[in-house]
Amino acid sequence: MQGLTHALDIARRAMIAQQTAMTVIGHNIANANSEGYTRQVAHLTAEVPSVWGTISFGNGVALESVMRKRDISLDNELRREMSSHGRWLTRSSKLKSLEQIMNEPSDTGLGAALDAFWASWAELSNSPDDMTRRATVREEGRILSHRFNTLDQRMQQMADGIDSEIRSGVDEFNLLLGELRAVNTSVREAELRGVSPNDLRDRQDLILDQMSELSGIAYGERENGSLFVRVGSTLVLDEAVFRPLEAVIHDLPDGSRQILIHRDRGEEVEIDEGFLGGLLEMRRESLPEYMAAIDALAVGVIDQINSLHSAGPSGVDFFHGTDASDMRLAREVDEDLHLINASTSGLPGDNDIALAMAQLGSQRFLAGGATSPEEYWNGMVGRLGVASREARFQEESLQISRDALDQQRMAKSGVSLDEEMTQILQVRQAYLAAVKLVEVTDQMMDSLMNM
Amino acid sequence: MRISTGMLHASALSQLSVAWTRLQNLQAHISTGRRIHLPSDDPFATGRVLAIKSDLRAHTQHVRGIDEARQFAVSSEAAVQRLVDIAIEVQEIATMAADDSYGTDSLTALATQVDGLLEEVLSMANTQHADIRIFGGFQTRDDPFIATRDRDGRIVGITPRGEGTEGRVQRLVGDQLLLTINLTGTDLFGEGYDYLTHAAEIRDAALAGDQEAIRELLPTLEEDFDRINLALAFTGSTITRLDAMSEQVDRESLLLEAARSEQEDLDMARALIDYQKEQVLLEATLSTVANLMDLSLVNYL
Repeated sequence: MQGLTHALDIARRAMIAQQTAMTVIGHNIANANSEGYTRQVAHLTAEVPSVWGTISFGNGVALESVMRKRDISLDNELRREMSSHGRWLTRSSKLKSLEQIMNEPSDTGLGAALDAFWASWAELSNSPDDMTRRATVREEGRILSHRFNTLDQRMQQMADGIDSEIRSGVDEFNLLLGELRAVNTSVREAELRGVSPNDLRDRQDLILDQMSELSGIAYGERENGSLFVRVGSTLVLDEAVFRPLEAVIHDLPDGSRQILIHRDRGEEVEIDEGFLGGLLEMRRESLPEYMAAIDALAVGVIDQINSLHSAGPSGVDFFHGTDASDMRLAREVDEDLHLINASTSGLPGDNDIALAMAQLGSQRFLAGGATSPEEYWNGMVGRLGVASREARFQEESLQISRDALDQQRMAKSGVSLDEEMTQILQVRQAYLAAVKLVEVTDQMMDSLMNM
Repeated sequence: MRISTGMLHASALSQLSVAWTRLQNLQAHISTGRRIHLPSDDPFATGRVLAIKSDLRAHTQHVRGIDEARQFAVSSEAAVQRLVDIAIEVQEIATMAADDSYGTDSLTALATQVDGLLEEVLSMANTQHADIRIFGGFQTRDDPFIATRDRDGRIVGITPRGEGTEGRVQRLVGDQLLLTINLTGTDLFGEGYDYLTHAAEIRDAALAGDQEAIRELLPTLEEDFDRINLALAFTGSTITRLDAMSEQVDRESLLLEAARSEQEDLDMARALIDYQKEQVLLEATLSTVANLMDLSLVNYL
């Protein structure tokens, strides 16, 4: 048979349990806007009962645990979406920048410069001996080569910018990796002490989120609570492993530069998802492809113009240079307008070269005779437009599914102030009831003492 | 469904961001009047617009080519017309000189007329248009024909100055379309520029009182006239052809401009209506978000 003191003991436990529940509510409210915070719930259960003969007497309430409300499979799914979204967001943004560099459709792009160049030759063909028209041809040639130079320069600047972003991204990844290692240690220690490290787990989750946005990662949890992380097939973090990444610039045999990600001066690490994956894809594939296409156009134009021009009496080339980066007017043409060949005969009224030049825009002499400069350029701009549009659609569609998953996660793990308010009321009432129990029990004890 | 406080904020932010983005995009399109700012706005239409713009620029160039070629042809026509008139005059003089009723003095006077006409033919052969000798083939800078004169300074024929006087001058008047616009000395005066030799022979025969020789030359003069007349027909047909091309290019340019506008330009009325619609939506979103953010159980406790 339990005495009145037992009732007081139950009331005491109830008050302590409700105070704890109130503390958890307070923690939730305080962190309602904290990034990565997972709402916590105090789990109260009935104490193990005492048995007296055949009767079981309850012993009040006990705080079993304070748990995070988290759905791990949702986390995994969301992180996969974050990685894909990071990649397509970067790709979309970079392709948009590339579109801006191409500056089409406009009256100041490369297409217009090419047209103006052909037109200047057509003008010259109408009066091959006219020095003003020769000067126009020279000026349009200068503008055209400058347009090629600028395109190449801006794309090179974009490549340098991407390299720099990759290095920053790798630095950020390494910082997160270092932080995760430290959090792992704290989690292990807490788990050893038997403490549930809810807030440290939140920190782990937040770091995984941020790492997933940066790069596609694979991860898992050891029994002691610490996390391991893989990038591609490379283990970069585990209990005894810490391998920061390194962005290394390589000089390739063709004179271009390439950026590769290595682990800790070791093997190359393949990253094809996340922000870094998108940047690497742009830097290694898309950007060089467009740069090479512009170079091919420049080389095709230089070769064809020079082959026609050098057949004239001056015998000099019109353009010098080997690609879009160093294309320029031939020094001789720059210095002396008389050296511009309007015809093979050099006679003042002959215009066969000028006429041939004027018609080059729509003549298929590029890509082994498959395409004209106009078709080549328009085709390239069109391809870029399609790629950019596809990237934007992918990004928008991934953003929608990412938002939906994020909403699901927030529905599961986010703090609802209204819910916490109702909890406060619930806990307050339970606490006040426990206090009342003490008062009544006290009165009963008083009555007993005064008998 | 459980709604957390963060969800409300995130959702409101996302909705506002979408509404602002749509409004900003529309505003950018309205301010430029263009539907396509970047190729990705409509890659297919961009390809069409680029091709059309290139065609339009080429058309502008073709119009200039046609205009210049027409001016050249008009100058040629005027000069050839004068040469036709001269050829008729020479024929008339020769017919008169072949008449037995003309005495020596009259023949001398007729010879002097022919001499004057020959000088004019030489001048016509070296006609300039905008500093270009129009009948000189590729020899456009200096007079392409030099007179050969007898001891008394009378023209007996002409010779070309250097190479290229028979060159065919072509002009770019359409896409991959070249048009020959010039007449050469041979077109006008025959092989070896015999017309001038024939006229000189008429003059010399008249001076010598050799009417038989003049009669023998009359059929040759007829052939010379036919040749010059044919040249006149050529210039006339060139001008007609160029006029037709000009009209054709104008028509095509109009169609191309319409096609460009259809692909590239913004449907302003629709865009403005869309803008107003988006504006209303944004205002409604702002209003509901502001309301929603203010609602909380906290306010009632």
